[in-house]
Amino acid sequence: MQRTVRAPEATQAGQRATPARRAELSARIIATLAALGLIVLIAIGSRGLRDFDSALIGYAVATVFTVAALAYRYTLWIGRPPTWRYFKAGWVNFLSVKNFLRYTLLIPKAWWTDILAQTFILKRGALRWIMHMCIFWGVILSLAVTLPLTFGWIRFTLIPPDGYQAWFFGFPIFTFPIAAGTGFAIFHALDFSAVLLIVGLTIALWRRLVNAGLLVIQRFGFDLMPLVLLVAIAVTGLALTADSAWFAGRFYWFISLTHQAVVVLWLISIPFGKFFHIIQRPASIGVTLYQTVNQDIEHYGAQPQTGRCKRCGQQLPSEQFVTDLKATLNDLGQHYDLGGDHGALQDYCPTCKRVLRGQAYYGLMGKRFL
Amino acid sequence: MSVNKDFFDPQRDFNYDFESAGHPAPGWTDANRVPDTLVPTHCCFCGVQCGMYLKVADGKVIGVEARDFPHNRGKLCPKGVVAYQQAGHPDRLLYPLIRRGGKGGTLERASWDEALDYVVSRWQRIQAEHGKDAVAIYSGSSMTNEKCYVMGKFARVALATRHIDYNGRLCMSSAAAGYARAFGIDRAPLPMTDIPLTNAMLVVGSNVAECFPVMMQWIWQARDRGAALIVVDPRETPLARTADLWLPVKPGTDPALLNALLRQIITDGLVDEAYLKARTNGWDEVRAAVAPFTPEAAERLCGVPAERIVAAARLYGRADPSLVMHARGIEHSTHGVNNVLACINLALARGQLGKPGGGAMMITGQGNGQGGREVGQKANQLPGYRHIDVPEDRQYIADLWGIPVAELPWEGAAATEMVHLMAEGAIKSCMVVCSNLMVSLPDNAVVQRALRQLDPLVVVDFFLSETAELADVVLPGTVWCEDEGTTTNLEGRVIKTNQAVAPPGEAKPDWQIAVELAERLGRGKFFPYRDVRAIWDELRLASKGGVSDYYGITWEKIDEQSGVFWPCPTLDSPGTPRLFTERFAHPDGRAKMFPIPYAPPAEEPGESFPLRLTTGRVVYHYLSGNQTRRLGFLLAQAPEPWVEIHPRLADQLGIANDEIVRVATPRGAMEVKALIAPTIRPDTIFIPYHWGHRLAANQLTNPAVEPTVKIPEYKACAARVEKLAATPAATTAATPFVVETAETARAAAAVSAATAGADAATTAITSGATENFTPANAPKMFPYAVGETKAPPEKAGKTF
Amino acid sequence: MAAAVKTLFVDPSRCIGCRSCEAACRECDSHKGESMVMVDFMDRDLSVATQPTVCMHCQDPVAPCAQVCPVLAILITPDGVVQMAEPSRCIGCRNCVYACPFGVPKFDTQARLMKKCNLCYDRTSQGVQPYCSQVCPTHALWYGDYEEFANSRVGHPANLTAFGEQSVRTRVYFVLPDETQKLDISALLDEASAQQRAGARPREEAWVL
Repeated sequence: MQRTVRAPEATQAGQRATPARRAELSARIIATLAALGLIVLIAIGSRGLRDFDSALIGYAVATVFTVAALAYRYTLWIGRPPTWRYFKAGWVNFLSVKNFLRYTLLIPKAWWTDILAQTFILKRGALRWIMHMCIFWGVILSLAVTLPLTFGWIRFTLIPPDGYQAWFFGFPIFTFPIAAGTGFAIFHALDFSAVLLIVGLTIALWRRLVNAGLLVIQRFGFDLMPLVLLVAIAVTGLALTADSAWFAGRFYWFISLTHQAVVVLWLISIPFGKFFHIIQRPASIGVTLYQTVNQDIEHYGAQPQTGRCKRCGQQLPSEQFVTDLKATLNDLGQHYDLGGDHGALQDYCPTCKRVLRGQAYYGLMGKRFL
Repeated sequence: MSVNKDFFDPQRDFNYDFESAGHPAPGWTDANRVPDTLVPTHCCFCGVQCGMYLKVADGKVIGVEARDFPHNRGKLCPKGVVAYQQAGHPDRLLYPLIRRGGKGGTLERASWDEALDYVVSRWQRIQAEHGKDAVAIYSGSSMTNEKCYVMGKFARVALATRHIDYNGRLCMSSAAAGYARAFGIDRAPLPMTDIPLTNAMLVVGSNVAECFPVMMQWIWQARDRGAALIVVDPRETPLARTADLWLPVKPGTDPALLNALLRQIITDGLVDEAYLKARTNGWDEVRAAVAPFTPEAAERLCGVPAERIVAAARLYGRADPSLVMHARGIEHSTHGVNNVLACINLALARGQLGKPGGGAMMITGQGNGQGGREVGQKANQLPGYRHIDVPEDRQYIADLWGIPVAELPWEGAAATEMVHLMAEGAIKSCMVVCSNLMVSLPDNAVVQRALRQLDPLVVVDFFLSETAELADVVLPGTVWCEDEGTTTNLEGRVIKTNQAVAPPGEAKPDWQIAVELAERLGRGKFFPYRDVRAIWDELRLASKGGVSDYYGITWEKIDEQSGVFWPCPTLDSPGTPRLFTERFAHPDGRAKMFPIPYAPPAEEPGESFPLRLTTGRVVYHYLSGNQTRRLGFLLAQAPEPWVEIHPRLADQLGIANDEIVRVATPRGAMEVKALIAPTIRPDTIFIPYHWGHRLAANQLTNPAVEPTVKIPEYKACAARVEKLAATPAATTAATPFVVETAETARAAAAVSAATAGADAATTAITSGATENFTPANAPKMFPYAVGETKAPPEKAGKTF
Repeated sequence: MAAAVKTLFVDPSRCIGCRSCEAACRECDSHKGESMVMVDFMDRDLSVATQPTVCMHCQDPVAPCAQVCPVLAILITPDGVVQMAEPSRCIGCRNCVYACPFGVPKFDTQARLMKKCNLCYDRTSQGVQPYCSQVCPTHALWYGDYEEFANSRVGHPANLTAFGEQSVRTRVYFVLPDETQKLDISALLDEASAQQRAGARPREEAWVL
């Protein structure tokens, strides 16, 4: 099932043209700077391209492009009113010493629940969690190995008769014997990540093939394409190992070219597709911090009656949250002030918003039948 | 819908709580299956019998999909949406259970052989010692025609007992008798799809929106066309809410209102004299009988403002066509038949019967409430609406069944009478099929005593109901989608339900259980059924020539025509959607009109019980709730009963919303939450009845019955509400309602005196309530004295 | 208004509060067990009147929920249907829950995920109407295009709701009396409370006993 979706754009185009153009300009500049920065780092890290493996140049170029595109999109994204407000508040909260003392454990905990262990996915389903952990760690591990390798930041030199010297960023890091487990682990790291990926992807594809709900709502480009790409990467990557182990490298050039092609395709797709969430996701830590700090009434010295629904008294996330939300809506040109002593619409909980509308309707209709 | 779910759990945050829509049973949250097949069938719940498809995958029912059937048009109520969850429900009974340790023991797993052998050996002994009639069958109407038919035949041929009756007795038996007496046929005279043709609807005692939600589309369509809506109900139901006129009647006083409406129609000259002359008998008596019921007199009796009565009479009386719809609100009454006849009088006086979109329409409640009462499981009936004391009918059925007519038992006790026979020990054993007496019968303390007397009490059910909990033998039956068969919906439309999955565990269809019992009783040759179709074909023959003639209805025809309306006497007949277009079913082709005297309910408010208690349904539950209380979504919406109290009364008693109060009647008391809302009469309280044990509204209700059909008076009894902390005496300090009641009693006496032939009101106050039924005038109950025939109305009621 | 666009029409005056829509909604394969439709009593102290709430799919301003989403998790299809949060993006900040002028989105605190009505994408994309309107026994929820509605139903379908100065035009229609062009929440609430004070609208039935 295919469909195209769009994120909402600014509604009053004329009013917002200039800031939008300005934001775009700064995004371009930041993107260019990010790309240049990476190129400089590659040059330094590979000691003036001395350690750079020209066979891997496709990967490096694609990565530079991806970084530029990511920086561009990230800047635009972070500049949106709601994001910017969270971004700013998140960093303010993070950089406050008072907060640090109070919430020392909060950030590590949030990293654990939101990024490393992703426990919230467990609540969406155990199988989904296993699937996502496999894919997540497969991708992270692969990137951690591949990127420095393609930048010429990592290399190994032979120390005769049976040792290896590992270099990173032009500095010698450690040595290890050829036959040791470390060596096996290092040289086969990508094989492990590929296996992890294949396990995760098999579950994901199986889900997408049999789940009646997913079958009708999934989009090929957004939901299936990334999985297919990752499968292609994992399979061709494993094939490289298999080829050198069992077929004496007879198909090596063909396979490595294919592998490079799909990886490049995948890298380029990151900023534009589903994988952008890898970059976005850490923002949830900022949101967690923001919400925890703002709910801490004592911390802000606010009145205990704050952050409650104006009608039913049920708790709202926090007064700060409501104030920020109103400001965000203001930025977007929306003002939900009900007038009189009704207050703003955002002062009500969702149920009471519906009831308010119901009462207005009842005021209009009474017990009439239309 | 009368209560929000936050009423039950005020602390719950419904903004975040996805479980607020009910806990799904394990496995239902998975959506990892695409259905292999869609099985066309109908809902198992109320009398509307909505068409639906069941989604089946890997031999399991996984969901429901809309089916565009003529009467429900793809619509479903919440019960219909989740009905499929009964198949494969974790509470299902999977194998027979026996109480091996006797009455004090526990129910233990048994084999079918052990269970059936035990039942049959007990029955044979009981019947040898105490006679055939010591074993009874208490059947139900929420199962297919085929099953109902087999139950009737099983009782009369295999057990040879006269005592077979069914829970339809509690449902609409007064409507059945009323229509039979007035028209000669007991069936709603027109299909639901005719409702939009009408120009005025007078809905009397029917909470259509909650009890038949899918029927609402036809009523709203009529409203869209501009039809007037008048609702008679003590509560503002969702139907009454938008009505042009709401007549908030005092429970149990309907004849006064209905007679006053008719009198006003006569006064305004809105009577169709030509029609009455050509097509009815008895109009003059009716006209004379309603004369004393001036709007003001009626107001004193029924509490409806006189000007509203006049307005309603004019709104209804000036519309043509116009339709009177009525249901349990007037039928659950000690004068239920009279209430129905009073409605019919209105429709006849306006000359509406036989017109498309006009007339009177009863709204039968149970899934197969219509079919269940036609195919011979009623105490006085044989298949095809034949009568058990009419010699030709007996002969026809005895011949068909292949037994000597002398062996065919005579009329037995009605369901409500059976309970007393059980308590007295006249009935020693009973098999309860598709029924949950412990929730559904009034005054259930007495019912429990009666059921405990039985040895064995055999219950066939698919969940362990409150009644099954008391059983000595429990036999696992099937839910509707595990078997096939036909049902007859509230329009008289015979429809086909189909099997979607196999029964779980060792469960068997009810008809098979009966057949196996019959074989063990040595009567197997009378039950040679290989499949359901064989039963259906026999039933068609059994009904041939009867009032409800199914002979021409084949399963193929049902599929082709999307249901067939009986009577359908020949194979090439298309069935009869509209009745009485030319003539009524009495031999002279004319309808009979009966003068209806005013009679108060058996029990009215008195000194210690100053309020009127009425009971009813909630949209989320069906009958005794044995099925719907197990379905997460439905239970979450209404997990427990409550009592609806008007703010004025609540103020007087000092009761707050959501407070737990004690409601007491002369029979007992129960504790329930109070819902304070202005949508009920201040002198009336309401409790829904779907729960068992300490939550059963039928701990409170009055077991008094209607004299002819023995339907109990669920809808009106005297009650009081107490704060939990307060002592009973403190809360019964005289309220204005008592004064008002005394006045009512005087008004009643005055009207009764003015009504020709009516007995003088004999009331007594012994229990603190006004008891209008005394030992002297209460209806005669089974067993009748030797040589005693029943009162004339009863005889007339069934032989037309 | 393009006539061919199919959408929901909500008419609370016909609603009987049976919650068929809720029961049906949770049958959906994509959020089984969870209902995205809400049936609320308008005021149980006045009447049994109820209203169903589905996502109104705001068009102007376009989807406030999506606009306040910091991670662009709420997407909009080309035909104006606002989707529920994309689970890979939603970071659980609840901006949408409180920004929505109609009180529609629900938040799953455990899974840290916003969920809401997406006009039964799974069904409408297959040419079947949403499950809620499919089962609704009263046509209080009705699915079809504007012309179809105008030809077969009574009342004026309006898609404008005013919250004080802020008006919201929605893809889903609300059925109002013929003379009424929009549902003006503040004005109607003020009017109702003024009438209440003046005693023009009794809170209970006038009982003559």
